[in-house]
Amino acid sequence: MEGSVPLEWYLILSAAIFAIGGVGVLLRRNAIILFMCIELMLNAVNLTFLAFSRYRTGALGALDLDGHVMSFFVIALAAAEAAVGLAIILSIFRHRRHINVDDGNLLKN
Amino acid sequence: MNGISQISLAELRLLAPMLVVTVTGIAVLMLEVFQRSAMSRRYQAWLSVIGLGMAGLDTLYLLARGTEAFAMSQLLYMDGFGFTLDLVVLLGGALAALIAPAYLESHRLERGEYYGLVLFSVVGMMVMNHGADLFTIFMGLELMSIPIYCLAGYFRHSSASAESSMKYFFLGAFASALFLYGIAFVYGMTGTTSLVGVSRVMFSGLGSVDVAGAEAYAASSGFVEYVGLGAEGGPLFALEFLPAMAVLLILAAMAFKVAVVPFHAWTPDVYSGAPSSVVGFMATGVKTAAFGALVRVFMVGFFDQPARLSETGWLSVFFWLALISMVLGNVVAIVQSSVKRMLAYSSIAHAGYIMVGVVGASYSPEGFLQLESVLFYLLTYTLGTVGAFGVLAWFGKRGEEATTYEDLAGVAKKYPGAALAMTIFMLSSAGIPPTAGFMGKFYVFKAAVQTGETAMIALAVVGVLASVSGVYYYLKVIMAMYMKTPRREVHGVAGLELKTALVVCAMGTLLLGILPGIGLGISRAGVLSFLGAPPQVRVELNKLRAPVEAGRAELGAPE
Repeated sequence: MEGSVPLEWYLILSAAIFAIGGVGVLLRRNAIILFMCIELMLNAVNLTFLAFSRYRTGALGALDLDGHVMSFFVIALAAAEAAVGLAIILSIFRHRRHINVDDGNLLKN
Repeated sequence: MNGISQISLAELRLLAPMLVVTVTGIAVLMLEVFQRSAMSRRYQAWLSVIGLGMAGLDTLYLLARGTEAFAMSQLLYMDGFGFTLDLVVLLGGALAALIAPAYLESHRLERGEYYGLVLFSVVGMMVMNHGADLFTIFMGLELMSIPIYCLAGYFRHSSASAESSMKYFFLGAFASALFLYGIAFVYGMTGTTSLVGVSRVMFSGLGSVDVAGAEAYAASSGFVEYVGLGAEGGPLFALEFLPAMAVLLILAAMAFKVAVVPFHAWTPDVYSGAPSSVVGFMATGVKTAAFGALVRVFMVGFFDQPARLSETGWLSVFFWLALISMVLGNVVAIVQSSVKRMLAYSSIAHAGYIMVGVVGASYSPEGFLQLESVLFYLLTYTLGTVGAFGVLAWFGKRGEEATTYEDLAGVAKKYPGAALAMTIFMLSSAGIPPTAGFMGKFYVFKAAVQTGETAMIALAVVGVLASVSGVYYYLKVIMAMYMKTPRREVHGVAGLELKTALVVCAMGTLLLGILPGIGLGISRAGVLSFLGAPPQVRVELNKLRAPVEAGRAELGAPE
């Protein structure tokens, strides 16, 4: 593994992406952007899984593919969430003609 | 995930309840395809109930047999604890299906997908209840949540329903991302996501207990040098910091799902916008499955001494979550003018009470049996809460959901049965004898007191005081029904199904209040066969199990 990018670089990168996504979910108001932020978080997780999987394979000399398998599951999950999430955003748009998550305060007293 | 192995028929037999529910779900969806739109869809509700009932009977059988086995390459624990939770979840699903027909008809939205979504969600909950691997639990969580996002937005014509669905979706997806990131850390540190494996690798050599072991592990895995923290004093930092992050992320995600303060903000908004029949289901089923998964993850995976009992260990975090949830849930519920929002805050308080049981049970290996109080509480909570939302569904119609106290004014005169049922559910939620809620609270607080620790007793005292203040807003509902005069004519639509569901809930609530032994017996059987329990706990459980096994041998029951 001489000369390869060290594990912590991947971890720091994925932590940064995860943080960007997380902060985005908490601060932004447009539903589509929120949605993209959640995708960012999920992909940061994928990167973590793959980095660990590759590191374990390299450092331990064993073929550790669990991380790869899990990232496939996460991708499938992201697709399922996209299908449902976009449908929900669409139904919000039909009612309000916009998709800002804050503006409708129907549910507050 | 432990390599590839063949699935045996014996394993498949243990999965029968899940498979039955899955097949019923698919069948309901297929029937909807061939359904003529003018035809009534009530039979779909009954079909769902039959499927769930069959699964329930089989679950009961497996529980009575004392089944304890791994399934699916050790991805699932098929043990009594999971089966008991399954029973609660199946009951919640069946009640949600029974409440629906009249309610959906009065909203002109009867569609088969309602039942299909409920059934698939129940399968997800069952997977969570049996999760032996962080990844199985995660897949179960998603299978449970995604149908519920859809169900929350089921009233397409209602803006409030769409908004509630959107809020639940975004916060749920956020929580899943946190959960996944936590799993990624656990995997990176231990190379496994199986709960038993995690507890073996991650915590057994950590902290003051076995520093040499931790260093040996770190050296053998090559983890330390690669993370770049060096050998000089670094290894312990690396090993202490990452597990804490992992535990924190997973804990936050779980807290979102069970809705304890400070992860509760979505609850009132989502509950007040979603259809009443759905809220009953998601308040009870999701909470049950999430508590089941939480107990599994923390009591199997993260049970070890330092992670649990140190000052920043998860036990003290649970302690504070329970305390704040009970106090805040009850206080904020008092000032609500909407019954649905009040019930949402009360469900946060209930999550706090259940958390007290978890804290009491996980304090020491000897107290582990107290986990039965958690199972029992979940059962009583399911009966009372689904029932309460069932009554609200009775008085909702298209465009006008019954949500405020005024909407329930004068109900008692015109619909004495509904009012009586609601009274029973409210008394149970408030914890007044002779209802199930009282016994549930009693056992949960007993679990905290039996530890003998001052802080735990204080927690129980706060819980009792908080639940006393809760009586006020539950009685307000009863007052509204019996003493207030309605501003306009109350009108409710109930079919045979809804009435059946309410009778079941009311009878169950009274029965468990008067004869708690039935529910407690099932709960105890569940806790005694808790697969994957840490060794110290296993020793305690075996002591308690010995008489049971002896009795079984004496009766000559087949193994």
